[in-house]
Amino acid sequence: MSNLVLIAAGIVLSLVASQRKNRTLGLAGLAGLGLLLIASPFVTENKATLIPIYIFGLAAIGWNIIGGFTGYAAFGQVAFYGLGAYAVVLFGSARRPPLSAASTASINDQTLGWPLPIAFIMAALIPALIALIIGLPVLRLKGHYFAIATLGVALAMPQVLSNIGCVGDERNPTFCVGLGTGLVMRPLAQDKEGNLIQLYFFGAILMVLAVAGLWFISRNKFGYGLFAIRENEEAAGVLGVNATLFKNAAFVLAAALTGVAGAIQAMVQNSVAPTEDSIFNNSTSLYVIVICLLGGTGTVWGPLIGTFIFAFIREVLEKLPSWFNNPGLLEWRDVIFGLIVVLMVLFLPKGVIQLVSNKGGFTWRIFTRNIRENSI
Amino acid sequence: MSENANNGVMLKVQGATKRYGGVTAVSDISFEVGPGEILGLIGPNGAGKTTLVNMITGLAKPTSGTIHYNNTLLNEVPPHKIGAMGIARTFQIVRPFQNLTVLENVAVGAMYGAGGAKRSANQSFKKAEEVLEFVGLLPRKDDQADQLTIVGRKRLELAKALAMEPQLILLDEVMAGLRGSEVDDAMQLIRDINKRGITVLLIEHVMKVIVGVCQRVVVLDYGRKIAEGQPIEVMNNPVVIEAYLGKRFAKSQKQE
Repeated sequence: MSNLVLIAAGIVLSLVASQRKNRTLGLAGLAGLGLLLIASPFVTENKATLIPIYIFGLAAIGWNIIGGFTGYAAFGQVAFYGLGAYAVVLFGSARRPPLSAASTASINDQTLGWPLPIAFIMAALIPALIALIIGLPVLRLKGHYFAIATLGVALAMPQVLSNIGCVGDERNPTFCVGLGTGLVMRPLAQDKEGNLIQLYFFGAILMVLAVAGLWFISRNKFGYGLFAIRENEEAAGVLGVNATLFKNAAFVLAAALTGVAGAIQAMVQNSVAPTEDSIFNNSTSLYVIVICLLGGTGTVWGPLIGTFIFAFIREVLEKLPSWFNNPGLLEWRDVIFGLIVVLMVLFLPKGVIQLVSNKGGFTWRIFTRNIRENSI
Repeated sequence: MSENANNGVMLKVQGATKRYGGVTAVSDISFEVGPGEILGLIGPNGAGKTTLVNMITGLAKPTSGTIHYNNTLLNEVPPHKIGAMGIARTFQIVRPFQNLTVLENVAVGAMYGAGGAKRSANQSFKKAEEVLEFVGLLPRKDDQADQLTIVGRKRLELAKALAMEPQLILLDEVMAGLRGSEVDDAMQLIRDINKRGITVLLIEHVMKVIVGVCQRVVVLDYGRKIAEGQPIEVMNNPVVIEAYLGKRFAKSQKQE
């Protein structure tokens, strides 16, 4: 089955699940989503393109905690994405690739070789720890100052990583992390198909858990503390909310989720290096924000809805050249994507979730009203 | 009673001074608030009333001087701890959490204020409903905070502060913008709050309110304390009249 159909079903079902008017319908949507997640890899035409959906979804849910719930627009989530990717390879399968061309023949297989679950926990813990260290000073900034600072962190991260050399004896190091070397991951399963299925379900389950986590946070004291900080930090403080503690906790949580997302990506591509085309692609920071904006920032379902919409747009743009038999369209992909994002943010600033308002069912009214008000 | 340990003083401000660069917003102000009291704090615009409240609630650190609450020095305590210690305030320029409902706004106060530690989210919402009923906003609990009128928003500020279950509440111009009958309602509300055992520091422009509810008044002008005493007595004080209505008016009053 075409991925486009599966993704479109994801959009509809997540919208149905998010509406609050009809409880039974909501539960049906939830069940449908579950079914879709389980069935997709077996009916899809291309498993490999389904996995990135969950990778971005997971990272977007992470961003939603700090950017959506707490109102701190982190612009450098790729830093934690890359750290998580590095962590999982380093702990899960740290092979030292050949240091020079001459030694290509003998790959030095000095793995840390920890069990994968533990490697994945490290992929959450290490970005979380770094986020704590970065967050304590950076979260003192607000608004665009905070955004720029996090962007700076993201630009610096690969440079830092590439300058961390080898650990252990110089001749026979325990492991090396470096721009020149990078790290190679041992595949999960013997065959590519099995590998993809495992990664798919790992990503999907994590994303379901992450949405459940968002739901849990949004209904608890912690979540309301974050909302209060977003709305007015000073007023929140006066009401007794420890803003410093809460926003750091949110930043750390976001980094952990983003790190795990990066880790899955590392498993998909089997290697990491501190470069743009490996894992430190700055577009990733932007995509996680765009996903939340498309779906609905600061809501429980927004990031999930946005994830499907984002995937849908990308999938359509990917197929445009072949549909119209015009390879030149490929170059216009990013332009069209950007245009769609601008229009969506302009006319549906609170995301597609706005269309299924709390009170009524599905309504275009908000959309048409926004168009009318913006057209003058 | 624990009050005995404080010699009947709940809040003690001693020589509080706040300078912003070359501007002295508050200069060497001292006063005390006893438990159960309603103390008025008045003064013309720019007299330093809000700066003083900011210092008491930790939003501004005093340049010099000390502020004690139940014998605890507040100078270096962050706002959220002061809130949890039992001091609540409203903002003159209201700061509702606009994208939250009225009920959620108030629930945040119930979650993190003096009585918040022992409460779950659900219990906080119950507490918030109680408080909303008390201030008369219960019918609007599910509205977004930004849908309220200015009067409603002032009430919301009050509800958020009350939900914290404070011992001391600082009300920063909660009457501004209210009409005659609304002022009467609000005055009764302040008396009711006080009857619940909450000490009130009332910052106000409306003289009728000060005379109507306060037992004692402190008057500020240009960051200094110029008078203190019972409302009627203070209002007849020439220095106070001069500060409010200008020298010429004070003189003409004297001649009469």
